[in-house]
Amino acid sequence: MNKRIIFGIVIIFVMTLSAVLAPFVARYDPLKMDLSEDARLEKPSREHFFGTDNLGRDVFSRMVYGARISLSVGFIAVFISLGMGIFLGGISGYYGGWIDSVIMRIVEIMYCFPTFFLIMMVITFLGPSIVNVMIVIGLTSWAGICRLVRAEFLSLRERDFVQAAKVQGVSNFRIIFRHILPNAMGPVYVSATLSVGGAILVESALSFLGLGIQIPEASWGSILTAGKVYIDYAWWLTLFPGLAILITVLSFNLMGEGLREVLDPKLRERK
Amino acid sequence: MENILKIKDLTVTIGGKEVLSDVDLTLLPGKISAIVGESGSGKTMMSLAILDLLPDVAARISGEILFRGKNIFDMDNKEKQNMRGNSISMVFQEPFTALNPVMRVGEQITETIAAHKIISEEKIQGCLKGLLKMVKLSEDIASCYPHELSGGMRQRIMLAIALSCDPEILILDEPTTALDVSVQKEILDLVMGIQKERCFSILFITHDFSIVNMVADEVHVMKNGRVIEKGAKEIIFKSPENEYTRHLIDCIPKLGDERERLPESE
Repeated sequence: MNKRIIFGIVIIFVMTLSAVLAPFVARYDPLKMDLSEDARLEKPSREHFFGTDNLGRDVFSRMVYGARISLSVGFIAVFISLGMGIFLGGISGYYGGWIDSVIMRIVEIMYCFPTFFLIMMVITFLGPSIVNVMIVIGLTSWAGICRLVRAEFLSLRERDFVQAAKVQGVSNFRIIFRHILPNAMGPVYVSATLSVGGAILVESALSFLGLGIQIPEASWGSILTAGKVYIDYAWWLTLFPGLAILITVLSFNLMGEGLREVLDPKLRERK
Repeated sequence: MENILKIKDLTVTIGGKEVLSDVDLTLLPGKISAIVGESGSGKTMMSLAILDLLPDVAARISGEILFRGKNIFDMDNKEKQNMRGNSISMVFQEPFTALNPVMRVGEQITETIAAHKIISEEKIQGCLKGLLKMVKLSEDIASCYPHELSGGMRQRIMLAIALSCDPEILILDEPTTALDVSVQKEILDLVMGIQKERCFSILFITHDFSIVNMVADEVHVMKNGRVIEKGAKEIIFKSPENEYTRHLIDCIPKLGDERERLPESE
């Protein structure tokens, strides 16, 4: 099997597993502060793998719990955008005509908007919370998947087996979701995997700006923010969450690339 | 006898060009009508027109298609969907592309039944077994994907799909063209056998007059979107009036006919 996929899956699996089993993996309560002088901003040690922050909290434990937030934002946001993208792209490509024109104009508008500022604006409007972040990232990132699905549908709907299903009186709904969609999923899997990485980055950026997760809870982005003041002498506060984001996003991208190679026969032969 | 399907003065254009001009056709219950013609003569367009599934670029200029006296162009979408597969069914030329590659063939057979009848899953599975038996395939084929089957087997599956709801009319659009000769014969025998048993009407589209000779009661010869000659098979074969028909009949390879042989190499 493809090495990149294996690397990606292993990292993602370990990350997800430790996020799910956070209470067993983390040795300390991520919210428990210790304000005594020698417990604050402690260097990484056997006691505290990634050191402690300015309030004496264990950075490793905070990051393990933070993984729950970061990863679930990634997955749920992509889930929302997949749902929307597949549904709209599917009916757009299948029916064509004015439905297609309307949906494609909306997609173009979505593309023209600087998405990040749109997300920031909406979050400021709705109030910063992690649920809002998930929904808003999902609702602003479906355009790419929509186009992808539409393009697949445009070619698949002309295939004989679609015509054959129509001849047998199979309903449009079933033709779209049972006949065409499974044939169109290859590129969608690739794009979805890559989007998870993107969504995690956006969440980190939002939390970094204070628009995502609210204190005292933490995601990787907000741990970064908290650490930036001390970057001169407490490098571990920014290095580890930064690395976690980097490695996770990298794993999703590698997995996406690997999937693309496996699913796209045109790329397979080039070695 | 009352006709089951009647096409009256059907004219269809694509991009200003007439692909069907003033086509008239009558299909009687329990009879097999062949439509013969070369590629591009409008045979497939006609079969698609009967199901009102002409491509978007095609425009119907005039004419009507009456199924049991009702014009199919006047039906609403629901009636049409009900008619397709249930009353009028079709087998395509290419069994390789007409089956969904990512769906088990069993499900592809049962979905037509499920689309038209409200019956329990158990009964549907019963129907599936009956259908597979009818087309002489074993039951465990149902869990195969299309790529695991041979061309002949796939065409049998297509036939099972088309006959799953006991249609009154079966359109066969060059069902054997993509198969090799021995499999061709098997499929034709199978279709004819089932037709004798169930007595549905067949519209058999082909370019091969030798097949027409084997199966048809009536023959319509098409050229450039027009029906240029029609009549009972015996009459057409014995005394074709049209030059073109005569050419097509002459194309049937005859036993002992040495004319077209290549000279033997020395």
